[in-house]
Amino acid sequence: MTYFPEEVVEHIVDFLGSHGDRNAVSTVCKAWYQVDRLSRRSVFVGNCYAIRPERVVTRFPEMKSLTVKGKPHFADFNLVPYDWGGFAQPWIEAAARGCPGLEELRLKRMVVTDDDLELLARSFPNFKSLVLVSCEGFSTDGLAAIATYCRGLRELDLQENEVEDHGRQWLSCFPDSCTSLVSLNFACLKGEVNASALERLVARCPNLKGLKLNHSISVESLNKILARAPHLVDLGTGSFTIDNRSETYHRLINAFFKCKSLRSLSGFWDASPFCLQAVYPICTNLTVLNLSYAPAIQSADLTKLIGLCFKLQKLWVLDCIGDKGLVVVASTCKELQELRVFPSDIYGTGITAVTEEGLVAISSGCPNLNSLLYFCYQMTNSALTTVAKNCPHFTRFRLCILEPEKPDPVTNQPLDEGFGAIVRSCKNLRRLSVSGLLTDQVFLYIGMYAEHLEMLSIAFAGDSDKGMVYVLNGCKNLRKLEIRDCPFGDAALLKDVAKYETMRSLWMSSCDVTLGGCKALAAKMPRLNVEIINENDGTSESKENLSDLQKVEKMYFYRTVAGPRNDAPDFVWTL
Amino acid sequence: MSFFLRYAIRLLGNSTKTQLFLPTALLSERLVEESTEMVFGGGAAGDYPSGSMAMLEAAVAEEEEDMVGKDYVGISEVSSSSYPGSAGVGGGMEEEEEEELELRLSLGTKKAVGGGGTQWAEYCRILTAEDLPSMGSRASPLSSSSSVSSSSSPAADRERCSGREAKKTSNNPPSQMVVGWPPIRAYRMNSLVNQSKENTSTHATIRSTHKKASQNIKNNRTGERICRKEIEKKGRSSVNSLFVKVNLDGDPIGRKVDLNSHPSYETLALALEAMFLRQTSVLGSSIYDGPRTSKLLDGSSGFIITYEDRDGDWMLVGDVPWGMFLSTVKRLRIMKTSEASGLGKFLQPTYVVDLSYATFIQGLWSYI
Repeated sequence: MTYFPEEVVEHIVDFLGSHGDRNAVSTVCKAWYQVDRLSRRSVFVGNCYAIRPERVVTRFPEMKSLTVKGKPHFADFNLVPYDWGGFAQPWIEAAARGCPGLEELRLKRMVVTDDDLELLARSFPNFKSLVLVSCEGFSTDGLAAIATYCRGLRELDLQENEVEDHGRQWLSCFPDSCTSLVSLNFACLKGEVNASALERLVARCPNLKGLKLNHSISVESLNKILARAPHLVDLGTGSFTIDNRSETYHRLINAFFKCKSLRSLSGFWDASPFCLQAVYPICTNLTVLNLSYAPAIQSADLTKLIGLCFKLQKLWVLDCIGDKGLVVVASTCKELQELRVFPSDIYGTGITAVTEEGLVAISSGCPNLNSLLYFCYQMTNSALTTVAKNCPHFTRFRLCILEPEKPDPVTNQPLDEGFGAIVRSCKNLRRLSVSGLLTDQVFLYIGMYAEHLEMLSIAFAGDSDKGMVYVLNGCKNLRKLEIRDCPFGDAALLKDVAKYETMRSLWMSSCDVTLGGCKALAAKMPRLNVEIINENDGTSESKENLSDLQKVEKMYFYRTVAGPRNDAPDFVWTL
Repeated sequence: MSFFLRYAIRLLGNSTKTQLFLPTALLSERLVEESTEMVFGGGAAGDYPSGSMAMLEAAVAEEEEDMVGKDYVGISEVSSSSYPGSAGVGGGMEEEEEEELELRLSLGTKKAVGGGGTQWAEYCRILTAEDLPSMGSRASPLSSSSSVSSSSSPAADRERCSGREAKKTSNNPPSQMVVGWPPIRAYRMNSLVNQSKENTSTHATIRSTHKKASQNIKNNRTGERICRKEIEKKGRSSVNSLFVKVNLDGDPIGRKVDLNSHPSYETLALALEAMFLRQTSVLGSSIYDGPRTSKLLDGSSGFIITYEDRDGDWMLVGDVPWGMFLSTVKRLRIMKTSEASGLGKFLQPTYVVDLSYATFIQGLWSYI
């Protein structure tokens, strides 16, 4: 056995970036566990209930960056009642006590209160970066606390949170001495923001690289901001609407002309088409373009804009771009890596905005495509097969056909073969979402070929328990499985329970799993928290009256070393 | 002249069983709008039948073809017998509940004096619980109303439709009828709803709860759009979301609903009904398991929707114009009417039949 002094091991381990590698190192032996423990700077907790916060803080006292995720993914789609859990408070409290050197906190799908934000702001003197994604429970008062007390704050990034508006003064709370901001994203705030305070803030932060405005910022304000910060790299434009071709508009064009560093654009909430022309000067430099919140921009203007963006790597659009628009994208954006096409009209007007043709065009024009989220009205097996052949590098492939259980419209067959082609061809596929009419066959293919698959989302698919069993048997690296409205029952659930300790979590809703099955699972696997979310039965009497044969509405289980959680609301029943 | 009209309308707003037909020449659109507001806003104190929930709905239509040949605007309140021929618009419900107050602002034909509302193209109705589709009974109005609720806040759980049912029904993709489908983040859904409301507020479309009419609409129009004239006039809906908590008595789960994504009380009620009803999970079963559902808004079981306003008082939902409601509401509570003792005064109908006002008004006409 070769002897390495700890300093050497530490030096080597420092080169390991990924959490997975670090975790592996820590299991080698006690010495290496200690080395990793004391040298780990960035900690990732994928499920906030998998481990107690105190435990994390004790194990990694030198941590500088903490990432925690809370609610299950389907909470994004309102499948989880809003007070299910995922509270940030215990994490912030534990870190405040044990890790005062914390510099960065990233929370996703958690409940964060104003008190939590204030505690955060006051407890960490070196705090630099706060990133909140899809969180809720706080207001602009909490943001005011962050602005007031976090000296040296570099990043405040609020992505798609639900923030209560308690006034616009939070931005003025950044003291005059605050000059360290690098990134500020408040695009999700609904209320007014003090525009002049923002302009002054931008003026005194010379390192500002990213700025994402909300809809309340007018173009006049944007002009002033761009004039003071032409070195911006990432801009979210705010409302981007002006009434006529005024001087404001000309100043806007000039302002954009000066923004030579701009690489990423988003926003455009109410953009009128000619406003978009102001952006043309910098299109050739853009690598990221997000137009997915701009339904007012029609396909023609979209394609004119995108037609100039040769270097685009990431594009988010609405499906009003149409198949023809996607052809333009395919011919222009040869370096495209990520494409997301969102539906602009989900209430069924029957307008077929994008179909399989658009996707095929993209795949033939953009061979580097590795990440896809595509909402469409129909898809064919032959299209999917072509896409699989053209783009073998997919790591994330999410296809959502808006009508559940819709077959291939040309052949009237299920889409098993198409998705089969995808998993066969894309050897590095890590994330997959399937839709349309699907039988057990597609799961056989997934189990056989998707070796690196880590996350799988299934809805309205499958014929029998065999489907789920194929997946659980086959995908060795599966971490998250979420299933809704599929005919999978207890037999599939209980077939191989040991598998579940290799996974982070499993969600099943509106399936055929019964209470008895869940109880059996909980009995066999004590280190799983098996939670039943029964929305109508909050009282304990009704819990007793439930028969084991009754189907469970929503089941969510996850591996944990923390035992059953103590903050579960009444409607969550941990077996 | 319009002053007298406004005064008359204000007086009549609180009474039942009167009719007022006025030549259109006398009425500006603004007066029509104002009178509608007055009627809705003024009638706080006693116009609501007990045991049911009064919801406001204003439906405004611009069917050009139906306006030909009509030359007056009728503001009428329904008595159970005067509108036998109103093409079934609320007709069935009038027979069921005499106390129901219906207010109509409409362009009717000449012969509507006797109540022939056959061509009510525009009307405002205060709906009771009976109007809201019970989950167990009607399928077709449900599909129109479910798309109503689908255009409401995505925070509302929409009615579940099993996949097979979906295939059977319409050409329209039924994705809006399934909870949490399509899988779009709530934040993005909100933006879509808000932005589409801004876009559609320029199109005034028909919104009719009449079964036949709504089916025709479903066939003729692309998508369901609800438009309230008052909201149009007041300006575009804001892009802000207004999430308030909603609790149902006896249900430990609280929810949140985005009030700004609803243009009217009716859509809100539908959304709340969808939210608090249990979703059936078994594929292939019928959508609605009768006895378990529609506890919420069925008048007979006695639930009403109340809200807490800025001053901390609990008020009955539906009293005030929608816009005013939005500005004062803090949270909602769906309570049993048996517990609503403090609000009791709102629940007793008062039959103020003040014929003296009617004669007074009729007397006015002689001066016109």
